[in-house]
Amino acid sequence: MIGYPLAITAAASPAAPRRAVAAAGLTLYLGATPALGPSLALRLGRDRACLPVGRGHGPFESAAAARRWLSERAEALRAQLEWIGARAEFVLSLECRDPLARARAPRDELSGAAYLRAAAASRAAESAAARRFDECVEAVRAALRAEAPAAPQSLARLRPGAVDVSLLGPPALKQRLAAAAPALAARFQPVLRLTGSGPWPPYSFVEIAAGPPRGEAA
Amino acid sequence: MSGDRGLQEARLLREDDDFWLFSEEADDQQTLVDVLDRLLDRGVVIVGDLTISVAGVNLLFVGLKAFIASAERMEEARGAMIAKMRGPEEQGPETLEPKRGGLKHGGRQAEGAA
Repeated sequence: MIGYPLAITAAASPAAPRRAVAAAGLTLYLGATPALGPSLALRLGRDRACLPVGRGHGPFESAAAARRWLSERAEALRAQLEWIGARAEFVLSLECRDPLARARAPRDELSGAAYLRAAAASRAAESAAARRFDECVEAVRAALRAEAPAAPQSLARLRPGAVDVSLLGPPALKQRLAAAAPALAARFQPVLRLTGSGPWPPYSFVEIAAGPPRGEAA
Repeated sequence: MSGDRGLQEARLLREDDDFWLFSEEADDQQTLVDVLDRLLDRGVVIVGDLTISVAGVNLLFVGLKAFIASAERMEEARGAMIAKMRGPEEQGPETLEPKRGGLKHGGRQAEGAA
């Protein structure tokens, strides 16, 4: 085994003293474990377009197998590298403060009719909380569109009541989000718990398997 | 991105000057005292990967799992584990008593000791 695929750039970088193979005008960096990928992709992405490779690929048995893997999807990867450019991913994680996933179970001693009424009330409360949460998520996304109109967004639903809103933008987007996050957190504080972080490698906007770049247009 | 990453990884990366992490939760601003308090009271599990490489060639990969807690907590855990291994009959004088009685009435050990 020669390693797991971690990151892809167009030209080799001296900033990555790591095993690499080249094919079809692309450079693929390899590592002993997929866990090394995020920090490497982040480092490489500071001065050039870089595609992070998520878990689920490799490991490769030989350099020839790695080159073949790279060549098979070279066209799509080049298109994504061009689209990503010198942009990174910034993430706002939004979590509902209401316990959406935890159903309030009716007490055992209730009668049948009371049990059904309590269960219906519990379901109604959870539905209302879920609606409030979705409305707030959309309001946050609208605020982010106003703050960074050129930054494509991606929405990932992690579980009921928890989503990640990702933005793809230049490094300067960090300052604007850092300035906007406290006000957003205060505005939606009764419903949402907000966490912001970045820059990340653009995982949410890259599809390594094949196909065009992901993420909606701004 | 969410499948591979989380707040824990962000907390590690925020040591980088270029990394931004915002959290409104008070427990995200953990001080060294908070960490020590948790360490002594509950124990912590440390999981890490170490890769040693020379000239870009990975030579050695070490996976590390460690459990760290106060000596008092470890004693409690050890006592509980020993009690569990011995089984319910040897956990205390209340449970020992019926066994001694049983031996006294018919067991060979009781006869030999007398």
